[in-house]
Amino acid sequence: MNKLKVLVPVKRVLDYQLKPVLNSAKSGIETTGFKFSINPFDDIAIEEALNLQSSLPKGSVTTHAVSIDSNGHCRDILKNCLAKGIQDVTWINTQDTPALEPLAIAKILKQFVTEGDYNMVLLGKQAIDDDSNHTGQMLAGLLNWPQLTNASKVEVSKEKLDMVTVTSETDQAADQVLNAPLPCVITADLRLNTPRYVSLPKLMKVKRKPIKELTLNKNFPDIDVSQRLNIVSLNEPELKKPGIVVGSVDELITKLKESKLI
Amino acid sequence: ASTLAFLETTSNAELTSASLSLLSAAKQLNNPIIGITLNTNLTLEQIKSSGVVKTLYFSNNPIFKDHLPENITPLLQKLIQDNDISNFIIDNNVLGKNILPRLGALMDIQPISNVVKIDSETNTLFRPIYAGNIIAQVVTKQPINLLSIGTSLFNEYSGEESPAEVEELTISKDRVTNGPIPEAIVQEQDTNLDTTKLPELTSAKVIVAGGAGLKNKENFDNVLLPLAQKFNNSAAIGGTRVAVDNGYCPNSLQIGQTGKVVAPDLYFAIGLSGAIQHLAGMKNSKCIVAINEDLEAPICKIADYSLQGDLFKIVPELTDKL
Repeated sequence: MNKLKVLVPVKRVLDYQLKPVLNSAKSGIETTGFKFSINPFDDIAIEEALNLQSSLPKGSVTTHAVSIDSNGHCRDILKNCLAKGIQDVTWINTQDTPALEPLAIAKILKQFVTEGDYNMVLLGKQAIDDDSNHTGQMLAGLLNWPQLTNASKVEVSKEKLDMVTVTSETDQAADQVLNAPLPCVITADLRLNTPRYVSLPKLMKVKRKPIKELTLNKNFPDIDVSQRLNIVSLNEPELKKPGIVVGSVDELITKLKESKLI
Repeated sequence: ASTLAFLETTSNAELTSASLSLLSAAKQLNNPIIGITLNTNLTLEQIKSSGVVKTLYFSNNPIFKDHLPENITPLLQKLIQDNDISNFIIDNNVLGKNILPRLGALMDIQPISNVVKIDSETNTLFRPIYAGNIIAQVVTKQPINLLSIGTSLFNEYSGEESPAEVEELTISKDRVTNGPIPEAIVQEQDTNLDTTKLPELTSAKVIVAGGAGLKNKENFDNVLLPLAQKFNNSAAIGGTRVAVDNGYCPNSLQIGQTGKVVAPDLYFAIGLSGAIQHLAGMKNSKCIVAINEDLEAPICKIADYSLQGDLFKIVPELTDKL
């Protein structure tokens, strides 16, 4: 029987409930005092990897999470993944490198996937900080693997573990069902599942578990991580002028008529 | 140097309104425009008289039927390389999000997604990040740019130009890529809303959107649909994440950071509080009307007109009086 080797790349981002605040140089966001969490879509990918681990025959699935980050705090996120039941975690330390664009991230992941012989990469469809929605599709392109994006349902053929069926979003009201052979890349939609919470006892259990650390210079020396884009400035959008409270449906209709909207 | 625009057509054999907006964006890039459309039901005459692009490539090869990026991206790569293309642009819809990054990987180019404004004098592109809370100004250092366009923020192209030369692409092999290709099966979603009779969400002039306050699917349909129907086929229905999760409306109608991004002339926000993820998808609407029990809700902070009260009384009254 085939083995399913699942890799889940995870990203540490500003918590989804917080509003970002630009730093004074307008080169990035303020980080001090702000809570950072796992990208919510990556959390869903982790949950799906755990679901595959528990629903497919024992011993046939391995799960591994990896974070590519310049900040050692991403280890907290990886610890959470361990506490939830992910079997192995790795931090790829990108300290001293300018912020990595999705293309560079995808190239690093490609090498990691090839060396680790993974046959399924499961990741969030989008990171909620730069909102690019690139990495999964780029990785699939670099590996020449099928890409099954915006998955709201994932099924693996139980007998042979060689085919995946994914329900995927389209631009129309209808979803599409994609059948693909392994290996493949799957990106997770919000509808896929609801991630579990980690209990404190489980977190305590993995507290001393070591986290593998790789570095860009030592382990990925041949990868071109140079920036292709130049972000010349960051700005807050112009504020709309405050609106008014209307007292009745009639007043609303009058206002909309004045504005020639109806 | 030319711009290659990926155009989509409707079942009525016309360019989609998003594609017309894409052409406006293409115009701002100041190069001759080459179009490509796949799996089109247009006749050759219709393509010729569309008259907005210099050359229009098309292919009705069945391998493009399901619009699988595994098949489309090698074709685009070849077209870009053979035609001295300096900009490739595509709508930032689900299809565009599937194609653009994969194409970037094949060509070793970092794409730029969801461009909402183009400053052609300084070659600066504007794109929202952090759910639209920050706007990044991006300049590229690459010789070829791959862009997806937030088409709801560009007007539909309406100018006239001489008819296009039309060229059918010949694809020699039955497949254009070497890797495995998924098999796609369309799956109808269970919905009572006959969205086919409503305009596309991203091009509608009026949007009636609902959230948790509608409480169930019956209310969602019974309260919102009659209001939308008052606008003579120019209003679409939309929903929040909660409305989709609770099954009030299909996923394709979700408006927000990772759903549809819309900018209609008039947006009715009904029974929705306005989480930042939802605001990211609609805050550029020209006029926002919030109907909500709580004037402190975030949606009322960005609404042009807020009306406080029970939506189950207010919306039917509004529908009656329009």
